Amino acid sequence: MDSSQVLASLQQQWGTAQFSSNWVAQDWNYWDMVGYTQAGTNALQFFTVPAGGIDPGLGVAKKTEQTNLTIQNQIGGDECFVATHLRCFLLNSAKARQTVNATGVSTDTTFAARQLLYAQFAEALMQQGVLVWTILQKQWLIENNPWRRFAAGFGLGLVIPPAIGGTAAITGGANAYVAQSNQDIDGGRMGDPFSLGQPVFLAPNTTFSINITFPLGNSPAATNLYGASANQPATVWAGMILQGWKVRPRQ
Amino acid sequence: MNPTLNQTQSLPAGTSANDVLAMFQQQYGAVQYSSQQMSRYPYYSYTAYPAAGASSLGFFGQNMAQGTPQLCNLEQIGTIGNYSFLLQSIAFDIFLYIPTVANNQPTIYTTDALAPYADIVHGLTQGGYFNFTVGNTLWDQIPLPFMYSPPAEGRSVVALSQGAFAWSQAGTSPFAVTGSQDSLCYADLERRALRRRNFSNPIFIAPQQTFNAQLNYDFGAIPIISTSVITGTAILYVGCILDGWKFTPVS
Repeated sequence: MDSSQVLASLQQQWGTAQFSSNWVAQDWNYWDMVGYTQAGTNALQFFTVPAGGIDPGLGVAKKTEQTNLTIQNQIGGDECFVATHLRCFLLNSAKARQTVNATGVSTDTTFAARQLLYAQFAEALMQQGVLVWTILQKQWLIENNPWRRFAAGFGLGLVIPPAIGGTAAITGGANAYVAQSNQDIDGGRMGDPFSLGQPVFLAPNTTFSINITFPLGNSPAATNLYGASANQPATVWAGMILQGWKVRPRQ
Repeated sequence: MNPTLNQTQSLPAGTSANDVLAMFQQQYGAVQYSSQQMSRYPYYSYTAYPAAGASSLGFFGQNMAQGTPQLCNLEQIGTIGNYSFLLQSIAFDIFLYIPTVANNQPTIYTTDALAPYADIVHGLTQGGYFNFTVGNTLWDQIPLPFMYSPPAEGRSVVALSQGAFAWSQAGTSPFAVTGSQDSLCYADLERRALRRRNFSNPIFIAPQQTFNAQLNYDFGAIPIISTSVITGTAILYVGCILDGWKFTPVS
């Protein structure tokens, strides 16, 4: 189904609006990132805190970088959204956005150590979880291991991390790099990373939520990664992207 | 669908150049749009990434004459000029301008300050979002642009080999490390085909329409990490590529 078919079916269903001629479908992403708490959690709730709200895990105000949703659990009343892909990702924040703490990012060596810890953490987390997508009262989709099943399909290219050299006095440090899958997500056929196949239509003001729960027990604790201090807005974000078409009045 | 071609809009998936020309002809019969020709024409704009980072970076704010063709190939500022353009994809790129190779060896790592690897893996690529506005309408918004929509212009072939430590032995004492080999590292944006953001609904930009392309870091600026390289003699350029079909009179 392409966007013109979506507009035609809107026209058929709601004939009072001239969807075919007066509305336009444009490619669009809605994204949301949820801060990961040091102790782990039993649920990550996406699209619940809009831009400007306080992230419950990290206690910081979310900006557009974290989410471009402006209303809690809905896209608003001025437009429709047709979701074609769902992507999950993890983001280890830029070095400048990590706090200095017990594990430390103040030096390259300690940051390399932290990269190792992040790699271990991410590998553990990306093999866990159950994604539940709820639209209105209906559980639309329930799937496990969402960071694998709903592969991000984007990321860096080739990365070969350096080891940190040793000297007679200093032991060198190892390094690592881990990220979610960046494999192809365009095809959307069976066996490809996930596309929704039949697009999911969200009407104006429709409420929805996407949660990742951890039924076997809390998600991995990241104590070493975050350090001991309570005041650490450091900064692993779990992310979700709904990709598709925004259908809005033509301007 | 009966699009009006004097304004920016999405066109249905599968729209061909002939379709666009035919619609032109139908709407503006006085002009022989059927005599126009189409060519693929990636427009690009690069800007130097500041050492301290920035809350936002704008593209296409200079034209080719001001920026040199190395940095921009747009003839006018913020508009395609008298041409029409069917935007098919948006990509983000980086390149490092190194004037004196001997003093800048960006793949040799001793500290983060010496290797742009650090900026790619835990620097400016790990944040930000992008807004693309035509007139007053927001037509696209992209999270984590350097990862979500990379250049996809061909992938480098890279092979690294690491040297050994230097050792010494005095008399019957054990071997001791006397120095370390500098470690090699490498990182790049994803450059496989189809990894960039390709629109299923191309965006038509009419002649003289102004557009704005802006990379934002509203959660906080991300400074350069490899300061010894990039704030020394080298310059890290970040760029935005608007790729699509340019319509011009037959020549």
